[in-house]
Amino acid sequence: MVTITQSSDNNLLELRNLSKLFPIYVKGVVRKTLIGYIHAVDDVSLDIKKGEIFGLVGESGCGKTTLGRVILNLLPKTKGEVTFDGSKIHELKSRKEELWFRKQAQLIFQDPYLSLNPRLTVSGIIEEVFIIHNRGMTKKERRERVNQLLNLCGLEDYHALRYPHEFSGGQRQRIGIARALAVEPQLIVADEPVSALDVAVQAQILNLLKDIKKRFNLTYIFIAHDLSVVRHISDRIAVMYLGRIVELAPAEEFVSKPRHPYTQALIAAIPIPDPTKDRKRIILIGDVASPINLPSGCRFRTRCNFAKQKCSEEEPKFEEITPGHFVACHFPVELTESLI
Amino acid sequence: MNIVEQNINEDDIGIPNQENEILIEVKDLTTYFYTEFGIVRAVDGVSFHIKKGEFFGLVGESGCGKTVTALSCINLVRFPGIIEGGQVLYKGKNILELKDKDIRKIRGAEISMIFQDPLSSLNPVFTVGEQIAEVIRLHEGVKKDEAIERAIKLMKSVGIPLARERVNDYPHQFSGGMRQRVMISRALSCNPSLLIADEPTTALDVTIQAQILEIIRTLQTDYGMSVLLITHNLGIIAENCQRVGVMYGGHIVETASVKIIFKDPRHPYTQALMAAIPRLDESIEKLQTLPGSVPDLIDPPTGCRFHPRCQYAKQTCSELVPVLEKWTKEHMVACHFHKEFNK
Ligand SMILES: Nc1ncnc2c1ncn2[C@@H]1O[C@H](COP(=O)(O)OP(=O)(O)OP(=O)(O)O)[C@@H](O)[C@H]1O
Ligand SMILES: Nc1ncnc2c1ncn2[C@@H]1O[C@H](COP(=O)(O)OP(=O)(O)OP(=O)(O)O)[C@@H](O)[C@H]1O
Ligand code: SF4
Ligand SMILES: [Mg+2]
Ligand SMILES: [Mg+2]
Repeated sequence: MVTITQSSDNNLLELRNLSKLFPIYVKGVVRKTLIGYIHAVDDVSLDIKKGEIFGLVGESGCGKTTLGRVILNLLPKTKGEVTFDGSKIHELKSRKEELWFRKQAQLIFQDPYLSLNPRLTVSGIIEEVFIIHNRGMTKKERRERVNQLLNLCGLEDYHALRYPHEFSGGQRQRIGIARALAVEPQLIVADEPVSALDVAVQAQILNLLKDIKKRFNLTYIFIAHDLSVVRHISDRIAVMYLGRIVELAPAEEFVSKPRHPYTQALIAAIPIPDPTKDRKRIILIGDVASPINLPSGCRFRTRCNFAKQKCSEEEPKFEEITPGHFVACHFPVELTESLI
Repeated sequence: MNIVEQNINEDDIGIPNQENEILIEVKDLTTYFYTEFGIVRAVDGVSFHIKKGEFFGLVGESGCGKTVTALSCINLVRFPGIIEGGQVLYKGKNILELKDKDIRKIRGAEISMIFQDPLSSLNPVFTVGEQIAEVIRLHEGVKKDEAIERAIKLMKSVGIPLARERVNDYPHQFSGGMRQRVMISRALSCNPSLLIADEPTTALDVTIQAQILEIIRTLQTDYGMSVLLITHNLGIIAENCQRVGVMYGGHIVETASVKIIFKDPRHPYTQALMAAIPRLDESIEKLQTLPGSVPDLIDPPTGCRFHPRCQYAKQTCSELVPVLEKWTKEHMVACHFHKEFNK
């Protein structure tokens, strides 16, 4: 059993003991008093390999978005470090280094509309990126590149001169993807990129994301709460629970042989569109613990069907139990029947 | 208590056999919205029925008319919406022709509804116990103490822990999943014959969703309640419903038992919908996609509303509106060519 410590050339991104706490204050008459911290990301260590699609799932509020933002240095970390292609990204010194990292790593949002400047045309939105990152380009070159990117993302040249509000949700997501690709990044963090879309449009965007990933040999961190979607697109999947990664495995193994009781409940709960299947149901009782007052020991124990004394006394380590399969549980369950 | 003896007969089409008595029948329901941009033909000639004790699902993409159909069924469409025509026969009576007073007696007592967002339908200034008890008092005329006792029992039955201690809490003191349970216990307080649940779990985490659906299923089998479940999730349909209607652009395009529709979807839209969803139990390299986008209901396509996106469309499709036709027993399809293509 080993915990991840050594680094390898294959890793694009290495997280070591990464934490992000949000302070919680109550406002008094005179001043505000600190009453505690939300452990949004709590001691996460993992490696993202070059060229992989890394899926991140977990229920609302477990810290997926926060983790993505800390990785992109859009939020300061509280503890730990993030190394991208050899550089510690929270210790970048100059503006130049920061711009370098901005070019390497891009974010795609759930609601692209909120991230698109409503006063600019699509062309303006994407050209802005070139103005920041590729100073040497002429206007004509920029325009050509915009059209190339739009076509790549399934939009037409004439779309370049339209404004964001003139597009449907799926088209806006395409614009968001085109803008992310404009800087030729290595890493894309996609935070719930298809959650707001109808199934038919969702399928188009998932196919597009897969295509461009192959074409440009990109690395994705794909965040979503829908495990079916994550399984479809990812090479490896990790599940978060109250700020901590509790299981990580290759996608196929993750759904067929989950070992953490929470992952198992999650998988059993996902409806499968096949009425002939008679699936085992796992019902979790108990309440989700508060991210401010985490329970002692294992943070899942308040809902766990297998919790024993040790679980309230000692926090389980995130350990590799079979090659490539990591679990944070004192008593990882061996399944006797498939959950899907 | 209105407990119906249930006798589930898992025959080939999986419909509980309660003499197959129809509880509610919707016929040619038509609801339009008169907006400044034009008339939105949100529900345009929708027909379906739900049997006693049956779990019926209505599925379709955003904006296809699911919610408006549900609201029309209990005559709750608000301005600028107008129910233009059709009938909703509940136990033989047309709900759309009942007096306000009579329909209020049915709503909340015989037919109750739960909505997607429980916070917006619970009143923030009353405790959850008061809100449940209120419904019981209104419909059954019992005293407050007794109604509160009943409320506690109901809260327990939907799995709210410490129900007695929490009955005096306010809605904001509950988590999303617990609020949805409060809504369910309120909806069930008068043993309804029909529960209309409009995306009751969409805002919840999947583990909580599974619990809520389990509760609804238990009540359906234990009390013989009928359920109209609205969702866009085909997995939820497959795992909970007995029969399903697929909506597209204000029309129902296919209805069948769940077992049949997943085995032999006949409408090209149903087929496309099924091929477009990623699945937990299969790894698919490329998802099938549908060209184009959902129809604009102010100016819907002529003929079959699906024709601009349909790979099988021929000339007739843009000229004639296909009506729901019987394909096999209990399997209806609205497509001109549904007999011709095989999966
Ligand atoms: N700026 C902030 N200030 C204080 N607390 C925050 C802030 N941002 C997030 N949080 C808290 O941190 C925790 C993790 O939030 P986060 O948004 O990362 O969750 P998530 O997994 O992305 O959830 P969702 O699936 O709902 O998007 C939550 O408890 C949230 O309330
Ligand atoms: N108050 C209203 N005014 C104008 N149009 C409306 C109104 N309510 C609904 N509509 C329109 O009626 C159509 C059907 O809406 P409905 O809410 O029934 O869709 P839905 O199938 O429930 O979608 P969703 O899955 O997004 O809930 C839509 O085109 C919608 O824009
Ligand atoms: S009627 Fe025509 S257009 Fe409509 S679904 Fe059938 S084949 Fe397609
Ligand atoms: Mg998030
Ligand atoms: Mg709706």
